[in-house]
Amino acid sequence: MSANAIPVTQTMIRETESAQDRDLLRRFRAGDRDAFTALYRTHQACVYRFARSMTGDRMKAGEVTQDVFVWLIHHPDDFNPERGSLSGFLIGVARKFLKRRYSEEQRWVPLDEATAAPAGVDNGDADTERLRHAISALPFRYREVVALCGLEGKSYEEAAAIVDCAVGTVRSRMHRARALLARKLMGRGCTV
Amino acid sequence: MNRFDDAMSRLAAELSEARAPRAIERSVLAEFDLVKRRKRGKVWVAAAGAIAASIAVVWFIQHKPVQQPSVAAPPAAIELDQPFVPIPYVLPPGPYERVEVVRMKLPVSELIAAGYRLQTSDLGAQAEADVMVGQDGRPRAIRLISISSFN
Repeated sequence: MSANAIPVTQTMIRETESAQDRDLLRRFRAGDRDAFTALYRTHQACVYRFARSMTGDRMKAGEVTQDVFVWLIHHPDDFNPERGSLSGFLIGVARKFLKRRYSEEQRWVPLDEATAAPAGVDNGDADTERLRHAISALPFRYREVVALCGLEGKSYEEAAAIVDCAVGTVRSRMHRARALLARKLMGRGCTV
Repeated sequence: MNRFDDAMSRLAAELSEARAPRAIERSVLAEFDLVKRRKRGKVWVAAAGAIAASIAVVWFIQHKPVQQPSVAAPPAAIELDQPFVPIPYVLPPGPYERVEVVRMKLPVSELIAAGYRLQTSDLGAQAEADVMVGQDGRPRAIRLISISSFN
């Protein structure tokens, strides 16, 4: 397979997924439970992963995922396929729920124990755990680009569409986020 | 690859396996069913409302009070609005004389014979008129109300 064939294949896969989503959405709007179940099973993982990257908490991520799909049930006509993919749209909805949750949580002062970095030996798992903790402590605007581009594997263009800002802004936020994460982990022997 | 990127890759790989718990799917589908039931209920309520409205309309049409056709004046009737005209060759009532007005039907031919000029060629017609009767019981003046055709 040539190097040019990969993007073409990815584009074809996306087109197929998009067509499947459109068909499922049409049936879901008509009240088809199976179509909604298929939509949920297709897209719940990306919403859940994004929510988990953002919150660093399984339970909160689950709640946000539930909120997103319940919202979709009540707003079946709000998604416009011409403006992007359904997964991007649902992540955008999740982002709004997370933002609301974040602003509500700002009113509460967390306990020191809850925010303390995990201690342990300096092996790979510890680094991962520290990184997870450092990501969840990032400001929201940096955390979301790390979650989307760094962990979810979205392109800067896709992330820009979800976050609703310029691609350059995503790129600079990602750069800044990496610097912040590196600074937090620097004392523990990490380099960027 | 440094430790940071390594940790990032591990975290991404770990997350890629993450799935929402099954309980969430159950509760989301329960919400879907609830919304669907509500929508169906709304459709039934709307249909019932439409049926009730239709029944009410039909009932109203069937029980609508039948309007009696208005009794229109015969087409030949000529409405007149005229003042009292003294009867020819009869003295008019005095300045303080008490009079009575009596409405009656008179043959047109009689009125013509009495000297009235009426614009009708039907001599068999009846004229409804207010007749002013003096204290002595004699008619003094007549005011025409209408002339009904004999036919």
